[in-house]
Amino acid sequence: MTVFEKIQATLADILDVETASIGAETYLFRDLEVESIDLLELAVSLSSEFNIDVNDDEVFLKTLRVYISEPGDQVTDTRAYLMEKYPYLTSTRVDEILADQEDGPVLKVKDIVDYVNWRSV
Amino acid sequence: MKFTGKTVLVVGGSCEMALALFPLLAEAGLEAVLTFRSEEGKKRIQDTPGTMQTTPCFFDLGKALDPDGFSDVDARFSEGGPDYFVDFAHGNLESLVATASPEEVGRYFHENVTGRSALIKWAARRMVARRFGRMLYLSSTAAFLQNGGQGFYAASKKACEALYQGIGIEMAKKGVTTAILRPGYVASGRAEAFMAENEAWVRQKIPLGRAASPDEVAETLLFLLSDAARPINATPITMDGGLTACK
Repeated sequence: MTVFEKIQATLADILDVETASIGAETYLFRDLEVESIDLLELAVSLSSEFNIDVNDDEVFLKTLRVYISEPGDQVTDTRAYLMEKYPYLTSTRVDEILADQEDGPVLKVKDIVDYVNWRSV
Repeated sequence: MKFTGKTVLVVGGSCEMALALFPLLAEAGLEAVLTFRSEEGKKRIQDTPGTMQTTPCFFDLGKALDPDGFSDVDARFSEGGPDYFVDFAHGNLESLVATASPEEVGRYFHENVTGRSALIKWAARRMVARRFGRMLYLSSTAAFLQNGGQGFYAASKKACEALYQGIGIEMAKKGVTTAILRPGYVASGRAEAFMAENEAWVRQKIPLGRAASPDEVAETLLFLLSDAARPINATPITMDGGLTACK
């Protein structure tokens, strides 16, 4: 199983939904309506499944809104700042995130896949 | 009584109530690990008849935030679990509110509240991985009615009760539930000497006319761990012979 397939299966189990309803581009909050307790369970599963240390804030972009809305006086380039905070995200994905702030949390399944791949190196 | 789980972590395992609980857990077929934080505590566990089949494990709430704060309990539960968790650990800070030094108060809350939140987090994440867990916290009637000198003790008991209630509220749907037991006077430790000296007062003050015994507390805890008690979630239960029901 690929990293994506494992995460897909874990999420389907936690949320009690069909695996087919979960794709790489699926939004966790907007589409799957996850709750914070589901993310806690997912973090625990990722940690044991992939044998990695999982930082909940980092993997689920929990502080993203604060980084964008209150970056602090010393930050002049939000895009570079986000890339520093989330080193596992590509520049293309950061641009996508910055352009996608209107409809709620941006977290997608593919972000978690990228995090796991980054932590597993 | 039925028990879905198998393994138990008993924190503060060298106190009399924990030592009374251990044989009941063993009889129920549960595998318990008792923790100690001092050599005296370790010896007390080892010297208690019936604890031969368990090896005590080091854990100190005051060191919970150290990098290796959980290494011993991690090693004991390397295969997953615990399924059950009973928390007896609690330091005392007896002082008038207006006389305690803020540094001492800080240390006390750091150990008993912050350290415990780390312990609860440790247990909760392990339990959610199996979607099963039951936590019991030994509080005190002081969380409901306190005497002079008990301000900090009561404050930390209330704070810790709220943490356990939080887990029960947040995680019950994931299979993890909590219950809090508030014993009043228990005939053990320092309280035993106090009650021997104040027998008439105890008889008059407590409707039941006596303190609870460690065995009674242990049997109640065993029931609270059992499958049938799981709907008793995120709530305190008082076991004080009627003491706090009186004016």
